Amino acid sequence: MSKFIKIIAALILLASCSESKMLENSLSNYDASIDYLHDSKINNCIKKDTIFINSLSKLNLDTFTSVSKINKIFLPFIIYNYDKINMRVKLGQSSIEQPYSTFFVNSLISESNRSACFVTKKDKPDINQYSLEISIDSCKTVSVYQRRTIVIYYFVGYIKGFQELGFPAKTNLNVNIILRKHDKIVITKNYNIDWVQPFEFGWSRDIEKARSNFTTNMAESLSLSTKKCIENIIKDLNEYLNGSK
Amino acid sequence: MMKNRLLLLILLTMVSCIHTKYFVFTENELNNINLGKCLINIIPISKIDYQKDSIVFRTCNFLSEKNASGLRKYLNNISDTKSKSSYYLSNSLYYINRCEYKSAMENLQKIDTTDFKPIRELLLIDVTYEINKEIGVLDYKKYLNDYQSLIDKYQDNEQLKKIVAIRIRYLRYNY
Repeated sequence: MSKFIKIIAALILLASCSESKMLENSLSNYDASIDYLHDSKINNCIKKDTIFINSLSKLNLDTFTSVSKINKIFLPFIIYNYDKINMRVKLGQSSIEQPYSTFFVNSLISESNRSACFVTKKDKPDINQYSLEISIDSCKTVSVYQRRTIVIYYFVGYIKGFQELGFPAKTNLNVNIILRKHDKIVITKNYNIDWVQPFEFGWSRDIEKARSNFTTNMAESLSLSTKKCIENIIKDLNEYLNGSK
Repeated sequence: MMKNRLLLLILLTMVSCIHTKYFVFTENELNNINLGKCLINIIPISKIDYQKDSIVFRTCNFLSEKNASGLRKYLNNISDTKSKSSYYLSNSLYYINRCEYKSAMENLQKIDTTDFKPIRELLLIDVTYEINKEIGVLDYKKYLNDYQSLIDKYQDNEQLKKIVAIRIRYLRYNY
């Protein structure tokens, strides 16, 4: 009997490990755009200064989206089985349409063209010009995905039903900037953005749609936290350059 | 009391027009909605258009009563050719309500470009998206750029920015 229980327990463990791997493989089929709407006011101030931006000096973002099991409930009654599994999903570059590093720099330049009182360029700066170094220490978006399965056995067969549900996505974006002029550091600042993006969709039997919406929700969370971070950076650079005159 | 009526209006409209994805709201009605937590595509009708233009006024009333057939009869009987833009806008709202986007586009293109700004421009982007969606052509970046150009053109219109932000979510999730 105890051997039987051990076998059953091992099979359940194996199934739940493979479930997270199956979800990981499935989510790799979906990617979402992180482009966002710029809703800041267009600033018509005179742009006297130029800030040069190169690519990011550091980006801490996983290459692939990963899934790990949190917990599992399995209730094996005689004619009714109930199975619920919660999985933790961490967003990686593979689920994002555009390379995040390029997206961050381009969005910063777009935002500065709108609301900054300086010109931003992607180039190697002259020693007399300002240069901005950006490093992203944390770019983590996590969420929970739940799947539940019900099996009802009857005399000649069984009925199986399943549903999947996504949970709110949480992003932690930690960015450091260093502004230099004449190779000397004039500002260093850290931006720590915590963003929660609600998941507006309920339980779904349409697995493809549920997973697509889930991936999109995580990408949206990352997109909007990046927007907030970039707007804060531009605001601080504006204040510094206006104050230094 | 007003909020309860508005909620009932939204629920009744959504139940009666299951496939409708765009909902007409007048300026007064919009003042009672928290646009930050709204998930429906709103077509905003300004106070001026609603109160001064009888065709638009009647059209909004028919749509809020979910009386599409009544609206169709009313529009078919219009003989007043002075307010052509109003007629074409009302016709396009009728067709958008019925999800007949090609007919909506034909009417939108007949509206004078100086009338009903920015609603005409907003609806042109919406309807173009819906027509392309029907044939499976979805380009998030293109429509993001179109909506971006629209809100940049009407920078002082904060309500339009919030309404367009909801459109962007609609584009993201393709629902």
